[in-house]
Amino acid sequence: MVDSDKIKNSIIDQFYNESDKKESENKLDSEEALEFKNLLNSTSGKLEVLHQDIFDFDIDTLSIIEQGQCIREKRKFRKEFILFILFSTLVLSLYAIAIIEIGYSILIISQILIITIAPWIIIPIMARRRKGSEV
Amino acid sequence: MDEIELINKAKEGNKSALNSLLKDNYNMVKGYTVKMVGDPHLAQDIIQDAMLKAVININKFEPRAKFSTWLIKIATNVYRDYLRKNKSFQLIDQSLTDRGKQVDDIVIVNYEYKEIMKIILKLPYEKRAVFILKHYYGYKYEEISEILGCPIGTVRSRLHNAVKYIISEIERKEII
Repeated sequence: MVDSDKIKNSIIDQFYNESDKKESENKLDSEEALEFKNLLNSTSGKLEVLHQDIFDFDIDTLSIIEQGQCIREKRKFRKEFILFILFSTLVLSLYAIAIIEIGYSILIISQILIITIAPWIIIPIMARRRKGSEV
Repeated sequence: MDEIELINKAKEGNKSALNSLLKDNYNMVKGYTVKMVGDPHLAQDIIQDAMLKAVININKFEPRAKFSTWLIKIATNVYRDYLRKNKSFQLIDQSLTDRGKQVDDIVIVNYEYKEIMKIILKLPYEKRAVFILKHYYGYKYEEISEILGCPIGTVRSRLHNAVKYIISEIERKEII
């Protein structure tokens, strides 16, 4: 890289407080460097014009939030539906394999077990959830 | 309420907290996008898309960086996707609104605004993003490299090139 280019780069870094002090102070105080510094300062002043907010438009953030939450709900529903289908297929497949291997008696035994045990699990869970939502 | 608290509430589904986050950072994202795009209508679309993506993915946001930085990152990605689909841009000729200035001042500032915007829009989008983030928003090289997903050395060289180009164009157009 040309030496003057390196000096310019160092001045730019210094201007934006990102200097790693590789360039010697002598080089940064040369006439060319000072000229570039002045140019950089005056350019920076001119660039300030873009800070003005001349385009007057506003965005309805609430409607974006509604839209976003609607999309999230749809995605969640789709994900849960796919999981439900996969889980159901797995359970039915296991049932089918068990019936083939053990016989129809497994179906009756499992149904009795589910009917007996399920309320003892589901009712406390639902009660705890309801309490949680009331708090 | 501080930003982290708002973010946590927003993640729990609190609409008001999410709205506050978006409103608080709106002006910054608007300023950045308008400078990046140079077209208020396109900027509006990009901000809307960016905010929608932020709302959808709020649970993925980790408060290591500021929320505004995350929004700017999303807006940059939305604009990059837009550029990939459409390869042209246009600077809309919209007059400055009068804010108590003399007519001559408005004409001069309007001219300078358009000329400087044209110069910035001639920069490739990567250099433009680096320059705007550094010059107007004072982001550090590390933060810019995080936002744009490129090494710090690349950020540094892009900024050097962008600044030298802008200086040469401003000199050439005799705006100084």
